[in-house]
Amino acid sequence: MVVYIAEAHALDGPMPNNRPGSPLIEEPETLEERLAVAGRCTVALSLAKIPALVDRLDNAALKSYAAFPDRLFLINKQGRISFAGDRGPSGFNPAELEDAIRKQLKADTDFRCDDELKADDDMIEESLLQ
Amino acid sequence: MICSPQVSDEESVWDVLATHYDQNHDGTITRQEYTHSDEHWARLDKDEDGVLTEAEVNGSGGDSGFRNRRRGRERGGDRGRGGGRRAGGPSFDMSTAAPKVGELAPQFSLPVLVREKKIQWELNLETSWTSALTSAVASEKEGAWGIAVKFPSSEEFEGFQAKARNKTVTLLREKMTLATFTWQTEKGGAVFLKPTQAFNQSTATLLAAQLAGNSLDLSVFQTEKPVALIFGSYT
Repeated sequence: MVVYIAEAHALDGPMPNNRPGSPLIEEPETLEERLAVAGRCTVALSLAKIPALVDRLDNAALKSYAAFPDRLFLINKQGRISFAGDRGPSGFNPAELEDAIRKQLKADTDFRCDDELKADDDMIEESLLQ
Repeated sequence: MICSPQVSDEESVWDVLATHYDQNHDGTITRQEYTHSDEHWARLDKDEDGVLTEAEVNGSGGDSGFRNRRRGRERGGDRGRGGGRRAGGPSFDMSTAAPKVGELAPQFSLPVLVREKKIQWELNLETSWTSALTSAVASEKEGAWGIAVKFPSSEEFEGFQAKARNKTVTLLREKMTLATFTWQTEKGGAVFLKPTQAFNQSTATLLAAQLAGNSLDLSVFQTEKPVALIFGSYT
């Protein structure tokens, strides 16, 4: 999921962006403004197919993940961090996340297979006992 | 709030600000015209005279200086002048440690982005119509997870019933197919949508949140599926 957080280079922020052609955006001051910018952002960056969450104005999600200005994580089914990318922009590496997702899915599949095999073994053992 | 994603190289910060805030079109923006916070005003009002001008906002000289700041630096210009990076660091403590691999993921509950409020219903790829929803929540019925939705008016509710009677319906938004459902009415004017391909709780919860803009609790995925989080902003 995309988690839209505070603008890194808002035109009225501490570090305005000065690259030609870059979007000119004020830092949203209400949740409605943040939702509006997030909507434009996900479309412009071709992320519209990915579910997107929007951090609240207290920036709680950003702070708890130390995610400013951008960062990637993978959380496993046990609710634990299974991949933690470095801080962006230099540490923002989608290929690493992709690799982590592949490994996680494989591990989950192997785990399920192990579980199913064990269930089969249990069933066989049970029927033999009968 | 200004958001000008489709900018050309010629568009400057001043162009964007003036369009939005220069209400009397006198070529300046006063604090009274500017509707955002003092903190943001202070960053823009570099000479602290209470008025924003093109030269001040775009950089000294006013010749589209904002876009020229990079060129200025390339020419050996002073980054601190002409509207370049201002004093002061980022807004957040960059020394805070991120959660590490193996640690419990910090929980949050955040609103799901809904770009387009209207959803599209489709019957057998033939008939289609759009409607808004007043609510959508994940709901379990007879052991199957689905979504209970409510329509904004009895007319829309009855219209849905008339069109979709005894048919499966496909739900789309922004031309993207979300899922196909059988359905049945419930008490209170709600419709229970049962997916033709089984949902687990997290899938139903996420889809309901995408339909209605509900807040989504990260913990809903626990035990069901891994979740990748892509933190970032537009700029």
